Amino acid sequence: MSCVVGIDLGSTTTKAVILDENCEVLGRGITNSRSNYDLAAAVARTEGFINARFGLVEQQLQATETAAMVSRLRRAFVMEQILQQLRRLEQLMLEETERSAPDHLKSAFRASIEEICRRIAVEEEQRFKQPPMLRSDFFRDAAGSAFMRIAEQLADPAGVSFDRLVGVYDKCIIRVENEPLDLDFRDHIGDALRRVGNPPGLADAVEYAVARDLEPSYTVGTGYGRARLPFPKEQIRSEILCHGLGAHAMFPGTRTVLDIGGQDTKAIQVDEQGIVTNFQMNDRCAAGCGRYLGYIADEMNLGLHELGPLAEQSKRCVKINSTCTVFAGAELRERLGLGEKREDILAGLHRAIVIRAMSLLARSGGVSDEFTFTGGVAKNPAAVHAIRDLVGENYGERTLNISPDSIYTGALGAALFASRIAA
Amino acid sequence: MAEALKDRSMLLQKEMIARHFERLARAPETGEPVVYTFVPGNLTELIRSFDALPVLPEINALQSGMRKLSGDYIAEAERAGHSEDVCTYVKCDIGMMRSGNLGPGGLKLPKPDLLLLSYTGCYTFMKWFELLREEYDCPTVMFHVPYQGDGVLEPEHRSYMLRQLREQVIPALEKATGRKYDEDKLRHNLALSAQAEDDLVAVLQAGKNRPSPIDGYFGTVYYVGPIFSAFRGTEEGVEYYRTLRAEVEERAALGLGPITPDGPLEGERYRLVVEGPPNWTSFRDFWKMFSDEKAVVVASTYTKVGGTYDFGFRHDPDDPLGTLADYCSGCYTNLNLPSRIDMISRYIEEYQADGFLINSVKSCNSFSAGQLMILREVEKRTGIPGAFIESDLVDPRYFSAANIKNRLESYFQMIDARRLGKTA
Amino acid sequence: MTHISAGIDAGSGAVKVAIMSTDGDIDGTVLSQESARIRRREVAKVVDEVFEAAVSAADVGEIHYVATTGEGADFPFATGHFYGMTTHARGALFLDPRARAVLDVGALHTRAVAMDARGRVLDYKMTSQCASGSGQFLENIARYLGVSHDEIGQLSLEARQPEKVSSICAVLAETDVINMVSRGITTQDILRGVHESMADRFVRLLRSLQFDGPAFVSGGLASDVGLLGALRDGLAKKAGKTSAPLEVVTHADAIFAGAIGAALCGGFRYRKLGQGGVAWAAATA
Repeated sequence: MSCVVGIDLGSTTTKAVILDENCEVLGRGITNSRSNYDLAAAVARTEGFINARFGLVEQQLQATETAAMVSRLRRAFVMEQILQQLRRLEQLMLEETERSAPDHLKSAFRASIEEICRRIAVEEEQRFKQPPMLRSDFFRDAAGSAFMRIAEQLADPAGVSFDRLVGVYDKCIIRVENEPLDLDFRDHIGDALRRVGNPPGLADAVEYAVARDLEPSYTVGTGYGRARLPFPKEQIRSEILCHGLGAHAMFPGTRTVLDIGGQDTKAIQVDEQGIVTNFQMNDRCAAGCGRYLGYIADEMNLGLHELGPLAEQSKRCVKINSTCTVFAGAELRERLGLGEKREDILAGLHRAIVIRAMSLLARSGGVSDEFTFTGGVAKNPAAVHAIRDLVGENYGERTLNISPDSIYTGALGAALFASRIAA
Repeated sequence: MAEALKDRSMLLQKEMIARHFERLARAPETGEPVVYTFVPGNLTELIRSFDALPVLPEINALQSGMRKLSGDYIAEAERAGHSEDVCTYVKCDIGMMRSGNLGPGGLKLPKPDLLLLSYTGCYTFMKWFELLREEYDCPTVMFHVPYQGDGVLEPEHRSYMLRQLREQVIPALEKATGRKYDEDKLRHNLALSAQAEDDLVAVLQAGKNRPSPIDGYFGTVYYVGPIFSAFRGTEEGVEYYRTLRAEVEERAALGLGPITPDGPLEGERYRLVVEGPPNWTSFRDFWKMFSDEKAVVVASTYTKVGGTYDFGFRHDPDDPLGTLADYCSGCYTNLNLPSRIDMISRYIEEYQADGFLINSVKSCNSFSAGQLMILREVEKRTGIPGAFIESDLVDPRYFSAANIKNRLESYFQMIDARRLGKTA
Repeated sequence: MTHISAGIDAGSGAVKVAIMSTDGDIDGTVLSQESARIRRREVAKVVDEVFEAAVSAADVGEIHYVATTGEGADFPFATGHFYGMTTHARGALFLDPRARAVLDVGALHTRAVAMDARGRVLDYKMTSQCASGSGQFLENIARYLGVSHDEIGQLSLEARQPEKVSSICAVLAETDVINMVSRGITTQDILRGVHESMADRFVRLLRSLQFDGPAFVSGGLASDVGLLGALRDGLAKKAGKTSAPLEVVTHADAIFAGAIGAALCGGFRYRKLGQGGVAWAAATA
């Protein structure tokens, strides 16, 4: 069947959305952005098509236990992908050891690396038997945290030290991320199917999904790196228009859209057709954006995903005076020194970020009903909390839309533009 | 300036500016008196009536910006203790002085015999001349132009200004130059000003054509150069504007678009009005962001900082001092926000613009304060959404090309989408 | 009479430990030195581990003084704590006796310290609370560019037309890098641009101090040849017409400057106080 693709090359993540002839979403894919844009776009696209074929599998199955069965198959598939990347990572780390480890440590090093990778694989197998848990979508994060943990247990400060292991890992994970790997549906679905015991109905459905032709007739790109996507100019759209149209497709009643991404914040007004009528963006300073939170996380020695939930535990939001990264870091240390609670300071920081976004919203024409919040930061509960509060304080009662797929808003808009051109 | 521009007016301008800087460099030998003053509210006809040569520090700063020298000059001034928040024109000028005071053409600038400050709404100018006074230890005089808070020049404002001209400014000029005030000479200069102003307005209003034969912002900052600096009220100025007008009218008659650094622009797609000064350090890159998208600026407010002529004001030789007062009070920086909103809204309507852009520069509060209100009010009045970017005059650190390009591309695509929406 | 002292330098990115035998004011011998990156592990555990490793490598029976420096939380076996600027000054002087200033480039912050010939601190300045002149920042950039830590320096040296990134703020600088990638600027030129911006900050820091001799670069980035090159060029450019540019020196063990300095300070204090007792003794089986 014919389909169209939208790619959103953001500064932090790259997203792909695939639509069928009726503009229904067939699949979504995401990967972490890197400076190799072609690769980032290709990986997101591959993930999108895998997701689409799983959708086809689901369509084929009419039984009640479909959802659970397909979800197991999906998890098995993701595991196969992880194991493949892990094998590649191991191979690279062994080569690196051969090249750079001191001779008297080479064999100990090899043994450590093999043992760590073996244990990660075992953990993955065990994880598969447990109910699903929330974790990062990216191999780097999944493998990274397991690697650090196991390396710490195995490291021998006098020989194969933690530091040396981390050094080798750092070098090789970058290579794994920056080379194309065969991770598509055909490559791993057979192994995944075997893993879930090859149930007959499911096998037929998979057979069907593999055989279906998914031919993208048109692709439109958007986002930060759009100018360097390998498409001609007519296949490039500004992310403003894509976010407006994407939000409109998800929530036809929306009139105001706020997108907070890694490097920029966009306040967009759209009409009843999803056409952008006005917009404003933050300027060079990305203090109210995702990267800022990244630096705060570094400063507090926390993971980025831990900030929001921690801030949500606050009982008493501290007023933060500076939204500039430079000064917020200083203010953070100062307040910690004064004995303020981490969660209260974090709640204040989230509010400060949203206050910046509020001024952009005001600049673009305010907040009308319905209001849609999209972008990476929309996943952060403390940011959502602050948005709710501040919109209420400034504009009164407003319907707030947040889609679990909000990170795909820009890619969805790009795909909708692609479908219009293809039509 | 770009090689693509081979018009006679360009060559004329180059020559007259080069001659002026040579004369300035020789001033210490020839004994010609030198008066430093600023573009808004400059009293060039009066200065020239004393046979003195004007020097305009902002122009030197913006020229340094265009020649990519301003970054180092600013760093030099910051090392000398001027904070990051000080206007970058000032820091660029201070840095230039500390680095040998070579003008934009590489020739040394003479010391001032007088600092003449026309105060037209910019407090920084006052501080700037205070710094120069420290540096040069020379006489200063201030001509205080009342802010047009209610949007009109009251009679008592006018008489207050006339008194200052007679009792302070003229005596200071007499003392600094050793020459007597000569009203006939001033009248003669003012008559020349009015001639050049007529031609300039014809050039500015050529932007009403479709396609516009001029770029009313990037191109026009060159066009207003002579009249905003040392050449208002001179024969050279008259000749320049006569030549320019003929060129522009010919382009209009042939249905040609404006000339850009990359050659003539064909196929005008977007007509814009721009508020705020340009960024000088990345001037060509900034312009290219427009010309690549076939966007033409049809009118701008910045090209009125040294005088607003397109609503009818002309220098009047029959009222020599009064007309100087009228001119100063009408400079763009001296106008209140409602007057600025009026001006932009009128431009959008009269020049049939598809959109408007505000460039908010970090350095200049006279310009930037109130711009968000201007944005909202103009949107309300015209029904056209505005674009808003932030940059700076001559500090390269505050111009982020990728961000601004992204913003402009999105804005142009929005105009396209709105057009399609209207026809759908 | 020699004494054995240990210096523990717990930074925000890594833990460094040096065990020394000292017998004078700023003299001594390094018996062992060990380090480990923290990488979100519990700092106290990392300190334990690195300390153990250093002690076993040094092969000493007893340690008279255990000195901490840096972020140094309270470690139960520590005898005393010294300020980072003091220990880095001492350690730098130990590694290069010509040094009269230290530039300590840390994971989150950078600090410049001026000192005299005996390692006494005369003055110090820190980066203005921003991560843009730090190791963490460089690591983020390198990850985005797909370059591993030890490739950065060499790539930076291969630059042809570097473009500077913002030296005002880390977030801005990251935006600049992403924009440069979008514009097709080479990895080499981007890295050199980042190095130059960092060097700009460091030059400003160093020039705001008065000192008479070379500046010693300590900390984790001291081995980054690209950064050192940019720093030397930056200082040469800012040299006055009459004054020679500031000289920059470093040492293969520069990352241990703080730990070595702490061990030296500890040994000195132990002698000065004439303390009895032993801070730490190997468990004799």
